[in-house]
Amino acid sequence: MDLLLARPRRHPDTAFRQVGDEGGLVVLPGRSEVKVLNPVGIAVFSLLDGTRDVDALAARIADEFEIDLPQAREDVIAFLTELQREGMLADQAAPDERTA
Amino acid sequence: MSEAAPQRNISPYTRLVEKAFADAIPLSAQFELTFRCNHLCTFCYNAPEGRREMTTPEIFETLRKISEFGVLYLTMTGGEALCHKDFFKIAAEGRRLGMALRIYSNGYLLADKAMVKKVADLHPMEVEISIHGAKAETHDALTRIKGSFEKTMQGLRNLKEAGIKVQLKCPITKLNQGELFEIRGLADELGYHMTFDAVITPKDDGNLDPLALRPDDAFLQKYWGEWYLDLHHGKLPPRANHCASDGAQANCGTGRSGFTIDPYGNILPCVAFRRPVANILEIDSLSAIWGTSPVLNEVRDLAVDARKKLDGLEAGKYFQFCLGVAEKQVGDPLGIYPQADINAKAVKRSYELLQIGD
Repeated sequence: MDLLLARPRRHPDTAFRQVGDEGGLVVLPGRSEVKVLNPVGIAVFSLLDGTRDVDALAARIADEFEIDLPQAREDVIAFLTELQREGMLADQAAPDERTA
Repeated sequence: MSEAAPQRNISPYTRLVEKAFADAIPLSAQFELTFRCNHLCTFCYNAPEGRREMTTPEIFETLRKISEFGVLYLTMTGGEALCHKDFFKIAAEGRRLGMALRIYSNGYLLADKAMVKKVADLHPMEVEISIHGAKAETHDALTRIKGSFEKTMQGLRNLKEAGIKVQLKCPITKLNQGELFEIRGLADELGYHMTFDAVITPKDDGNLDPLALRPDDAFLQKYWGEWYLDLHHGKLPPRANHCASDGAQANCGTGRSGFTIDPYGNILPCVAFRRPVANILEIDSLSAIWGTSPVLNEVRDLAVDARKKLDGLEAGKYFQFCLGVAEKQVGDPLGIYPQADINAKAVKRSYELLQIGD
């Protein structure tokens, strides 16, 4: 999946919860692993429902956490790359490869 | 955006869990789907009232409320959870709602590989199986179901084959206290983590009959003193309740880090402290009662009081103390019941022998 073209969606087997303002936990049940995300990470993760591309995600994060948009975009891409490497994203075709 | 290295000497996960504990943000819920069971364990703490249990649509409503409340870890138990006719529909709904699933089972029905395949398809975080002996004679005597040992062992092998993470647990009783090393050997053969529970609790209705099966005091001295390290691969005996973080103000997480729902929809502070808070079908949301319930507030205060009381005892920091057991056994949630006292003193002695201080 090309993250720059896709609307990423979290893996359907993940379970996640925000814990106050401290961040959040993501469980990958298939691997019995729990990952800790910081507040920005859990905010991005909760937005990964397949409706937003990288630019939309970055805009939300920049707005919510008062970060410069280019910095937010860079951070979001790095985070999504990490999630993809960890198998925490659903496999998804890029928009132009999807059937209607 | 993964968490940076912690400044304190604890993991980011522990820090987050401690924060949740301190702020009474419940990450876990234990859902007793049914009191029906295919075993007849004499020491079982369940005390069914013979009332109508929740219907499947009501259970779905309950799951929705649990999920909306922000619970991450959902434990499905019973009775025997797998005896519920709609177990797989219910468990799948819990997963669909985004919760990580733990299943408590006696393993009997998992002797059927088709059943294990359905469990695997749920991608549970963990399945916990109870085992009561290293041989059929002991296990079956405690479950009072002939052939249950063989079924459970087959279930364990099937789970292994399916690659499902399993935790084995064994409540120690008079009948199996002599074969703990053999039981641990079975776990080792399968590559499973094994935990033993040295406390047999009264029934939920206060009936003390199960206590007749509790291990004897001489055994407990040996268990905590000589055997614990060997039985647990060198791990030291616990010095606090598993549900309370180290150094926490409260003795345990009752009504704080989690809660329990019984098959009638009653919300309880935890599986052991069964003071009804409300019925989940009669409230709009759990958040509407979590911060304001007089029962929950009292229970949380009691857990803090218990910690203070234990800290004043000579063996206080070695106690694994349960408010629910205390209330049922000695009529006072802060009363020191014999099993907790014996265990704490034995654990203290064990630490002294090992010359391990604070």
